[in-house]
Amino acid sequence: MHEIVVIGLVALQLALGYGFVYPKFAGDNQLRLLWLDVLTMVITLGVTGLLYANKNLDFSLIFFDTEWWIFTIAVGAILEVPLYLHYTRKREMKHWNKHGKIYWIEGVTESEVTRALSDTKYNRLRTRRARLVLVSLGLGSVGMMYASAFLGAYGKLSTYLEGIGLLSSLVLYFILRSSVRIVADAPDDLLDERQIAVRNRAYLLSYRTMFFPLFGLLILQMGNLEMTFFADPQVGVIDGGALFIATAMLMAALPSIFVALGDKGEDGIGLDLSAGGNRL
Amino acid sequence: MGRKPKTEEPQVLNRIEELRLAKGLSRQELADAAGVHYQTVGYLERGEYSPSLSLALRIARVLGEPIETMFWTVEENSHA
Repeated sequence: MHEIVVIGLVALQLALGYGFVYPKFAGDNQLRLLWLDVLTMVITLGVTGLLYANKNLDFSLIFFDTEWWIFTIAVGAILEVPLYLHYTRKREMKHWNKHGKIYWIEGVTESEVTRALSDTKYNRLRTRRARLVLVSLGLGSVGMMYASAFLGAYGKLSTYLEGIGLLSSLVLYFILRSSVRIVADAPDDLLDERQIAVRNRAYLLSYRTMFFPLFGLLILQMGNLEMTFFADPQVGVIDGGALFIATAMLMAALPSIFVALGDKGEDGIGLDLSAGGNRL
Repeated sequence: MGRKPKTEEPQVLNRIEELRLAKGLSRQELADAAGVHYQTVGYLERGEYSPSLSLALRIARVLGEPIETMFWTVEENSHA
């Protein structure tokens, strides 16, 4: 029953959004549409939160049960795709707006990358030392999320650790991204040949590094340990949701981490992460 | 026959900094003219990055110097 209520709320949000709010306030501006969409989703989350937060209800997502907020976001995403495609096609939106091209796969805009590449305002974040601090704190935050998965016995401590770890790793991820001038996420069109080489090398190292956490998860699975996904932490049960989110965060951040370690900062100092040569 | 390990590849040296200063250009100006980031000019000048042929030709054109007098390898240097 509670699933139907959430689906109804999301449907109402989308009907109001695509029927009234977006045509009136976003028109054919992609970026504005995106922000309005985030705003309406936050409002829907607020309403579902008021109804279901701390009620200890499981929401069925067919394959597994989850919490109210994940269910709301998942239903929103599924219902929105056809509406979004219809909206953009009807207006012949070519994913361009006054802020420049949007690179959907990379998740960046042209102006965002161009600005980051020429920016000198945050050069204090681009020294070797600053990058090492950011990388260490970021890895520490991801470590907190991993640790929280095994601390179900400590109840609230586990929840706090996961929450603080998630929040700080998100914040640090965006600062680190800015520190490396978004090189790790930028498309070829906006980088020069050296930056493309640095980015590609970072992805190679990230791919190889991801073997270790994924192997760790495999070992856990082989151990036949009890695991839950996005449910309240319990004694002796591993929080698979926390493991999944921590691994996803690590995967997203690793390319920027390797760019931060390998590319020289504004102070001209960096590690040589190339295969022994004079270039990355 | 495979590619030589990078450690065995001779380092490419250049006169970019000397020619840039002689022309009165800043790193940023050279970078804009050659279509690269200003940090990349720093890497090139320090010999820490070997440019592609296309980039080397662009830089040579901006600095008005034949490419063969701008770039050489450490081996050539020791033979000279």
